[in-house]
Amino acid sequence: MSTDWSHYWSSGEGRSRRDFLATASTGLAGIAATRLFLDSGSVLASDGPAQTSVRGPHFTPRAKRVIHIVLCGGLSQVDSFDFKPRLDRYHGMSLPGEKKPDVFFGQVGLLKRNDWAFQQRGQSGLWVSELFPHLGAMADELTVLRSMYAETSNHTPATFQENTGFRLNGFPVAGSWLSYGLGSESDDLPAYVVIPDPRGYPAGGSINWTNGFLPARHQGVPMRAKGQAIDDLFPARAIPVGAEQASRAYLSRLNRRHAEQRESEDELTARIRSYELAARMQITVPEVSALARESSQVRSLYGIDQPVTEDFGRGCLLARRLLERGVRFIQMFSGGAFGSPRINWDGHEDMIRNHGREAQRIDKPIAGLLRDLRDRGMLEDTLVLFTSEFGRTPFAQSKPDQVGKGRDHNQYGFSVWMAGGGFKRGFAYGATDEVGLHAIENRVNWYDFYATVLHQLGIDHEKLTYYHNGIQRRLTNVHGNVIQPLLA
Amino acid sequence: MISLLAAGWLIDDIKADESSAAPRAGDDWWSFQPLSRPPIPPVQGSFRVHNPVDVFVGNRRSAAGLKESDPASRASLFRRLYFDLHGLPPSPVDVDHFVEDQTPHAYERWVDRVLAAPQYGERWARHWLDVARFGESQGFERDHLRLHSWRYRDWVVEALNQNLPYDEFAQMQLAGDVMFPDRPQGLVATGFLVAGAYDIVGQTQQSGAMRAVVRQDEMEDYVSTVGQAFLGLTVHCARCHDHKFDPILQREYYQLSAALTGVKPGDRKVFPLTDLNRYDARIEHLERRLAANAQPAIDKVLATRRRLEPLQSSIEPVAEFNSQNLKLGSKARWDGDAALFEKSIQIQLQPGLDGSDWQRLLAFTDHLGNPKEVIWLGNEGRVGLSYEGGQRSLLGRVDTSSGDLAFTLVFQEGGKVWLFQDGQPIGVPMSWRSPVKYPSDQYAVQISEAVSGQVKGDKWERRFGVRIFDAALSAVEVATESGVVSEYVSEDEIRMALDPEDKLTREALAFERDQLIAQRKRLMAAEAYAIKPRSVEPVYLLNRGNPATPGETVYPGGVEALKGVSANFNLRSDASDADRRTALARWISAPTNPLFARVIVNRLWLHHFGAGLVETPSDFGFSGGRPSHPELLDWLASELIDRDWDLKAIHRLIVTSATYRQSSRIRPSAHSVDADNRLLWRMSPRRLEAEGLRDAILEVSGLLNDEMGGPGFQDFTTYVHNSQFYSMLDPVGETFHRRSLYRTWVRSGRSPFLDVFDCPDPSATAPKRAVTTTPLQSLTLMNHSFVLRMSEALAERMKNLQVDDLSEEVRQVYRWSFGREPSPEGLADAVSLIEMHGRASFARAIFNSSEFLYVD
Repeated sequence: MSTDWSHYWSSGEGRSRRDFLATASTGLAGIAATRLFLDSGSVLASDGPAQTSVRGPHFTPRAKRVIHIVLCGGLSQVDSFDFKPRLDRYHGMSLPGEKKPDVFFGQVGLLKRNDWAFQQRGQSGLWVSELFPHLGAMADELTVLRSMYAETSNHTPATFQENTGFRLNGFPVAGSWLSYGLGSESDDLPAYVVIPDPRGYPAGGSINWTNGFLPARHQGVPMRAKGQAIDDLFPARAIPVGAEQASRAYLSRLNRRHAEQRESEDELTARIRSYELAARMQITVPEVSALARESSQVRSLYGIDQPVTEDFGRGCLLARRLLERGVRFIQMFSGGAFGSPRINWDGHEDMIRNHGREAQRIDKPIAGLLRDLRDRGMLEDTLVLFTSEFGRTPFAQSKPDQVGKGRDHNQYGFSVWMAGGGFKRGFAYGATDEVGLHAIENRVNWYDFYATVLHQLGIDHEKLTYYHNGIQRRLTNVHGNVIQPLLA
Repeated sequence: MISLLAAGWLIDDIKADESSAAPRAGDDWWSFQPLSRPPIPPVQGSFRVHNPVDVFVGNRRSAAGLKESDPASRASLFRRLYFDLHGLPPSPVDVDHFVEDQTPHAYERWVDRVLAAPQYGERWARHWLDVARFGESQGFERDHLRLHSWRYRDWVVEALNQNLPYDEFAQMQLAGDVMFPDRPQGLVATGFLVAGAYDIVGQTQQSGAMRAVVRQDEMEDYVSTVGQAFLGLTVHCARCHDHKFDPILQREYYQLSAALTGVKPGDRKVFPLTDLNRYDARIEHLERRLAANAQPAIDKVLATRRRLEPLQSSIEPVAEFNSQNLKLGSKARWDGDAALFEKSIQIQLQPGLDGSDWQRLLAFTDHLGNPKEVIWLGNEGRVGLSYEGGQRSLLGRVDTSSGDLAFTLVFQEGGKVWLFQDGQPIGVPMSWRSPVKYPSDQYAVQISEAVSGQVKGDKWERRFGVRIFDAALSAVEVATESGVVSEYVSEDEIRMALDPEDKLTREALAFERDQLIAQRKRLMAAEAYAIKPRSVEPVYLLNRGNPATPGETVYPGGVEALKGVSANFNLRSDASDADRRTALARWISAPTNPLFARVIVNRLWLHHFGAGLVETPSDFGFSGGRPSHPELLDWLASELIDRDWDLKAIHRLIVTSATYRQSSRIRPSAHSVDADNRLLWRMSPRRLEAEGLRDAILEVSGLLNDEMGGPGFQDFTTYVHNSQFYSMLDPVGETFHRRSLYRTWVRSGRSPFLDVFDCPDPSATAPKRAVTTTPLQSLTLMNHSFVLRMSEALAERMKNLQVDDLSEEVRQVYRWSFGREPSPEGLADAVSLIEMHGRASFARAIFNSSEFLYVD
C-alpha cells in the first residue's frame, strides 16, 4: 500500500480540512478516523472550537513558491534602487526644514550624495546603481517598491516585523505561515528551508525562522550549501552499515508489535511511517545539496567559481534545486549578527567599504539565480523577494557640520524589490521625497507587502489565521491592503 | 446506531454553543459569573465511581450513550502516574511493589507518596514556566544572559513542593516583595513578572517617541501575561480599542497597566541560602581528573624542553628601560610604529618596599599625560592593576623573600593577565579587559617617581629595569627571558601533546569544570532577576494604543465585567507601586474572583488528561473553548477554594478518580463518535514532552543526575560582543545530565534536540504544547550524538548487571524503559539483535521506540 506522507510537512493540515469536509457526508466514523489520522498538533485537535481559519489557496495563485532574500542591517536605498539626483546637488548641505529627524543614533550629519552612480538599465530603463551591476542587467525582471516605511529603526524589532509582521518576539515568520497555509509540494523535504549566511546567524539566531505559536513542524529548517546540509541527517558517530540496518529493522518490528496492540491509534502508525520518511530524506537531502552535479556553466552563472561570490552563489543554487523539488519557502540571509567585524549591511562607519563588500558577495549570485529561474521557466510562478529591515539616511551619520562616511538607520523610507510570480516587470512603484528620506507617494508598509505576496500565492491574507492568546492571528495583524498596481 | 444518534446530539450541542450565540461575549458570559458550588448529582448510568469527579464525567458520558473503559492494568497506571506527576519512569522495584500490593487503598497511598516527592515540583514547575514565558536571556538584539533568573525557577519548584496555597502562589509572583517583606523568597517570586523578553536597545534608543512605544510594548507583555496566566483573560486585545469579543474596555487595559506601571526588571540582592559543598566536591574531583589526564603530556613536554638548547632568547623587546637610561617620573616611548596590543612587561626591582600600602610602579599614559593602565606594587609582594582611575585589582603576590624582585606581566587577547615570577606562573590568570591598543605615537610609558623607598628614614631611588614586549609571551618565552628553564607547561602545550582521545576527554572535563566554577560564582553572587520597581508615572488611555496621543488619566483597577470582585482599587493617581501591585494581587486572587480558581483547576486537568475541560487554558473568553463539563469545572474550582487553595488535593482527586484510571485502548464504537475523547471514555495516550523524553533517556541510561536547584547548566558556548552569541553543543559530563528543567533557557540559544519535540519558544507564553510527529524527530532520535552516547551508556549499564545472560539484561531494560516484562517474541528478537550487533544497537532502538515515547 502506498501512502502519501507529505502531510508531515504540513500540507496534511490543509488536506485534513478537505478530507474532513469530504467525509462529512459519508459518515461520522470517517470524520473521526480522519481527525486522528493526523497528529494531535493539527489545527483541528489543538485550536479549540473557535477555529475558523480556512487555509489556502483561496483563489488561483500566480505563484507557487517563494525565495526571500533578507539583507540584515539595512540597505541604503539612495545608493541602490532609489535614484535621487538632487542629493548630488545638495551634497554637503544640511537637511532642509527645521525639525531634526528622529534617527537611531541621533547624529544628523550633512546630506551625502550616493556613493555609487545610477544608470537606467534594460528596456524598462529602471534606475539601478553600480552597487549592483549584475542585478542591473536583470532590471527588466524587477518590481521595485521605493516607498516602504517601517515602524521602528531598531534592528531586531524591525527584522521581526520584516519577517513576522510584528515588532515583538514570539510570532511566526512568513515562511512558517506559508508552510502552515500551503504546505510543501514535496513529500520528503520541508516546506520551509532557511539558508543562513555562512559567516554567522543573524541576530537572534533561530528566532528569525521561528514557528512562533504555530506547530513546531512549521519552523524553518536550516540548511547549509556546503558540508552536511542538515543536522542529524546521519549518525553522529560511525555505525557499521549492518548494525544500522539491523537496528532499524528491529525498531520497526518493535514499533509494529506495539501498534498492533493499540489498533486504530493512528498516531503510532504515523510515527512508524515517519521513520520511513526519515530514511528517504537521507537519500533526498544529499542529492538535492549535491551542487557538484550542476554544469560548470551553471556554477559560474551563480558565481560559485569565484571566492567572493562562492558562499552566496552556493546558497542561491541550492535554493533553486530545493524549489524544483517542491519546497515552498526559502529564506536566505545576506549578513549575520551585529558583532565585530561587521558581517552585514549596517554601514554606520563607512558605506563604501561596507555596502561595497556586501553587495559584491550577492550581486552576481542573485542575478544568476533570476536568470536561471527565468531560463527554466520557473520565474513565472516563483516569487523572489529582496528586502532589508529598513533603509539608511540620505545624510551622513556624523557631526552636524560634516559629511561622514557612514549612514544611520532610516525607517521612514526605503526600497525593496520582488521578481516573478505575476508582478509587473521592470516596474517601480511609490516614491520618497527629493532626498530619499521619507516615503511620500503610495506608501507601503510590511502589512501591505505581505498582503500582496500572499495574494500572489492565492491566499486572502485576512483568511490565513491561527488562534493564539485570544486572537485569530494573521501575518498582517489587523492591517494590510493588496497593492493592485503592482500586479501584472 | 443509538450511540451515533446520541453523539449527533452531542456534536450539535457543542456546535450550537459556538455558532448560534451572539458574535461576542456580553456581561453574562459564563466564565465571568460568580462561582457557586454545584451539587453532586445522582449517578445516572452504570460506571465506576471513586469520587465526585467520576459522577460528573460519567453522567455526561452516559448521556451521550458512551461507556467507560476498563481500568488500566496496574503496571500501566503506575507508569502513567509517574510520568504525569514526576516526568520520569517509575523504578522497577516500585512497580513490583505496587503491582503486588493487594491491600485496600494501595494506589491512594502511592499517590500520596508520589505527590510528596520533590520530583513533583520539578515536573509541574515546567508547566508553569511555559505559561510564565520563562527565559533566561534578554531576547531581542542583545539577548544578554540573565545570570540570576534561575532563582525564580527554583522558587516555583519549591513552592509547588511545599504546596504553597495557590492564592499565595499568585500573590507572591505579583507582589511578593511588598506583600511578604519578611520572606526573602517574596522578591524572588516576582521573577514571574519579568521573565519575558526585554528590548534593551529599544528602551535606550535616542528617539524618545520610539522609546515610549517600546515601553508600551513592555507593559503589554506584563498585562498580557498576568491576565492570561491567572485569569484566562486576553486583556491585551484591548490595548488599542475595546476588546472585540469580550466585555473588556480599552480603559480597563490601561487600569491594569496602571497597576503594573512600577514594574521594571533588574538584578536584586537576595539572601543566599545555598550549600556550596557539592560544587566544591565536584570541581575538586574534576581538577584531579584533569591533573591526571595532563601528567603524561607534561612529562613529554618537559622531556623535550630539557633536551633542546636552553635559553636562546629570540624575542626582542620593543623597549628596555632601567635606572641608567630613564629617570623616574619621566616618560619614554617604545620602538617601532606598531601599536601595542598584546603585551608583556618584565620588571626587575631592587627590594625595599615597606610601610606604605600601594605604590604606583608603571603607567601607560595618553598624549595628555593621563595614566590609562597602571601597574601597582603593594606590601608583601602584591601586584595590582588599575585602569583609568578605576578600582585596583589584585593580580597576585610575588615572593619577596630573596633578592631582587623579578616578575613578568603578560596581557593576552581576550582579557587574561598572567603574573610570572622566575619563569613560573603565579596562580591563575586574572580576567581583565581585553588589551587596549596603545599606538606608539600617542602613548608613553612612565616609571613612577613613587618607585623609591624609605628605609630607616633614608630616601633613596630604587634600581629598576623594565622590558616591554609587543606580544603575549608564552610560559617558555617568559622563562627564557628570565633565564631559567620553565617547569610550567601551558594548557595549549598539554593539549597539543595529548593523543586525540585524551584531548577530547580533557576538553570535556575542562568545559564541565568551567561551567561549575561559573555556576558557583552565580550562586555566591546571591542576586535574583526580579522586579526592581521604578517610580510610578501617571498612566493615560492611549488612543489607538499610540503613546503620541494620550487621552484621559487612568487609575489602577480591574475589569468590571467580572462578577463578585470590585474593579475599583480605590487608589489615588499617586499611589505607590507597592499599593498598586498589592491591590492587583488581592483582586486577582480573591476567592470571589470567578476566573482565578476556574483557570488553575483547568490547567491541572489539562496536564493530567492532555486536554483541558476548557480547551484554551489561557483564554476563558469568547474566542476560547467552552467547557466540556461546566459543572465539573466549577465543582473542582469550589473544592480548591474550600480546601484552602490546596493544589495537591486537586491532583489527588483527579488521579484517584476512576476516570483517570481507565485504560487507554481504543474502542472503535466510542472512537467513531468521540475521537477527541472529550467525554473521557478512555484515557488519552500521550507522547512525552521534549524534556520528559530527554530526562527519561538519562534515567534509563543510568546517568540522570538528580541534583535539584541552583544555576542551570549551559548546553552552549557563549561570548559577548555588544550582543551575546550562543553556539549550541552537546556537552558531556555529569553536570549536564541533570533534568532538562535545569538547562539555561536562552531565547536565541534553543536546544535543537528539545525543539524538534515541540519545546516552545520561550519568548511567548505557551499554555499548551503542540504535539507533532515529523521525520526530523526520527532523524534526531536516531542520529543525535546525545542519543548515541546514551545508548552506549545503557549498553554499559546492561553489561554492569553482570548477569551473564542476555535475556536477563533485556528483561531489565524492558522494565526500566517500559515498566513491563518483554513478551517471548520481543525477548528473542532483542537477544538476536544484540548477539549480532551489540547492546548499543538495541539501546538506541529502545530510545526510538513508540512505547518509550508514549504513555498509555
